[in-house]
Amino acid sequence: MQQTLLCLAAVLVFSLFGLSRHRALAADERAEVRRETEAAALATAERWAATLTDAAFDEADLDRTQPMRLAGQTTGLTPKARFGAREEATVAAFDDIDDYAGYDRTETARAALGLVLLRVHIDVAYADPATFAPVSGSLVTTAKVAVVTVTEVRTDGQTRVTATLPVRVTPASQFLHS
Amino acid sequence: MPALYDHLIAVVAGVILLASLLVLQTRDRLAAIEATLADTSRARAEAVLDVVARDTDNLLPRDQAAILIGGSYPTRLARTDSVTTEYTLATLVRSAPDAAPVPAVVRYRLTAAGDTATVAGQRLALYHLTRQVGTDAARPMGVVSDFGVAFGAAAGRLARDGAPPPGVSHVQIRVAVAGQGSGHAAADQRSTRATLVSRAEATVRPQNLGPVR
Repeated sequence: MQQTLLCLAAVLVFSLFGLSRHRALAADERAEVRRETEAAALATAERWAATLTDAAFDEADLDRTQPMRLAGQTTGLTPKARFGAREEATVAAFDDIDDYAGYDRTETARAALGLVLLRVHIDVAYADPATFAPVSGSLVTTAKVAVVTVTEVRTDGQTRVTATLPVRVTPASQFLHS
Repeated sequence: MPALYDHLIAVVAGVILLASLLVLQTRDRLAAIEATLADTSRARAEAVLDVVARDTDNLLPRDQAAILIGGSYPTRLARTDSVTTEYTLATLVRSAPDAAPVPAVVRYRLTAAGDTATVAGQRLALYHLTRQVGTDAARPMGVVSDFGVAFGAAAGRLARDGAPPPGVSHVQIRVAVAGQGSGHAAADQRSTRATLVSRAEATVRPQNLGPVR
């Protein structure tokens, strides 16, 4: 009887030890998967940021042969209420930054050996030209900030990976690089 | 012998516990090796990407390359179905960290290594990646499982082979490195660690390309 109890106690202790080791290994592997997913989300955000930077500052500035709009020259700029794709049916037709306002899509990206589902959301707002902080209300300025947010789509309730990349744009951006 | 029979339960339980401990220990050791391999794969992928991205960041456009290097514009891509097999670019390179950058043609070549890595039961082809500056001998950059370069232009247009299209504004680069573990964990459990393959990607906007047209 005494022997049996001791054996049962040993088995119990060993099982707890085995389970804790298993949990630690699984946590390590989850951290690696998360790292790969973060890299994929950031790469996706960078890709969209590069696409955004190709666009003109405003619908009114599409003609790049015209002189560059200078700081404070807000005449003709699109009011914030009219941001978003209007006549442009697809993203391939987006020609200025405002078209991307509210843009939302889900796409797949490769991470490690598999694929991850990522949701891309873009917000665009006029910003203070000195600080690039978004301005409130209907104020129109010669600076815009587009925020690309890439979020992992998960259905299992686990913590999702998010990458946020702000893109600062001025009328000079479309005439310059980097 | 009678003593052994007297404590049979204790002996059997002890043997089972010892065997299980051995399995756990082996499994821990293999997991540690795989974790190190996964870290190494990530570091190698990022190191390769860093070199390619730095060269691409200094990519010279057609007009500047004609003045600084001469001849026909060398920047172009060649590919098979899934990977970029050759990426040639006119760029600025430094022979030493403190040396002044000089114009040169850099050529990345991907050749089949004739080997594969099996990761989580999936077999991946391996390639040798080399970097050649001008007429110098090509230098190996390591073994990769994926390498892709694409020229990007406005509205998400991409060119994966040939010369850069008009209006090219950015270059997408991807690198993957696969590390191969033993393939098995303890007690013949198959290794399913997918993170032995590490991917690194970057979108580079070369500073010399000039305004978007």
